[in-house]
Amino acid sequence: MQNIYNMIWADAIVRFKKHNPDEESWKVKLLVYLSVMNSLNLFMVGLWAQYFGWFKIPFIEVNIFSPLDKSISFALTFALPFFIVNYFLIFHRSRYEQILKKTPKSNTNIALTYSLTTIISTFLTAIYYGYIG
Amino acid sequence: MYTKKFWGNPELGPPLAGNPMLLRYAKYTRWGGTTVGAYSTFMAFKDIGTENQTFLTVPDAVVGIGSLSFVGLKHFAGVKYPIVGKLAFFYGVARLSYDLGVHYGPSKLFAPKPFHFSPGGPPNVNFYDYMLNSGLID
Repeated sequence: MQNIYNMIWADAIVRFKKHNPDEESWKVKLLVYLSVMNSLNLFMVGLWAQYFGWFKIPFIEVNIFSPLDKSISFALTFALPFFIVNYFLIFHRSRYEQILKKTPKSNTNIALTYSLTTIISTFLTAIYYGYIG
Repeated sequence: MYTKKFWGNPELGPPLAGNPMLLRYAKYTRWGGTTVGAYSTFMAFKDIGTENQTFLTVPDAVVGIGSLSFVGLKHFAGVKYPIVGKLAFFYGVARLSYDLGVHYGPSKLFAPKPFHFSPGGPPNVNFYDYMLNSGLID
């Protein structure tokens, strides 16, 4: 599991730097984007669990500013934990340098495959759960 | 003549390249794809997760997911469609404006506020009903 996680991150960093060489805030962008992808995956698992009646998704409810409350609630429940974990596992003390050295280079675009698979499967799951199921 | 006007001078680029207003605007829309993508997606999925779908849930999900997909393509494959980020940005502004109107619009400003007798008391019950139900008055 750790190998797959490292492979996704290593591939994401290499490809991001390759296609956006002048981007200064690449760490923040990658961290935010892949944390959102992780959160969508967790949400999909939670939605299926809710669908089968195993448990109800425990959203953290907030009441800060009405138009943003839903987004903040979802972000706190699903994205923030991944944001923190990813930061400490990848970017804290430049751990990504060791990961890049250890992880073998892959010709497959793992990061893009992971992202698009996550996005499409979560979208289909949400539509099925909300409107068909 | 028309072609040159439309495509611009080959040495100077398109007519709007370097336009200070567009450059200033581009600074704000650069993060538009990711921000609006996450904002719309999270909002739509929160609605679906809590089973409170509205007529805007599907548009939110479609815009958010589409925007995140193009951000992924840009980051990891180098495929760039700046127009998607800008459209998403406009959608985000419109959506936020709509939500602001729904929550803080004139209909809410002048609406009568529900009376709460006490913080721990029953909600939306006025003082007279509370006393009547409690047997304090006949």
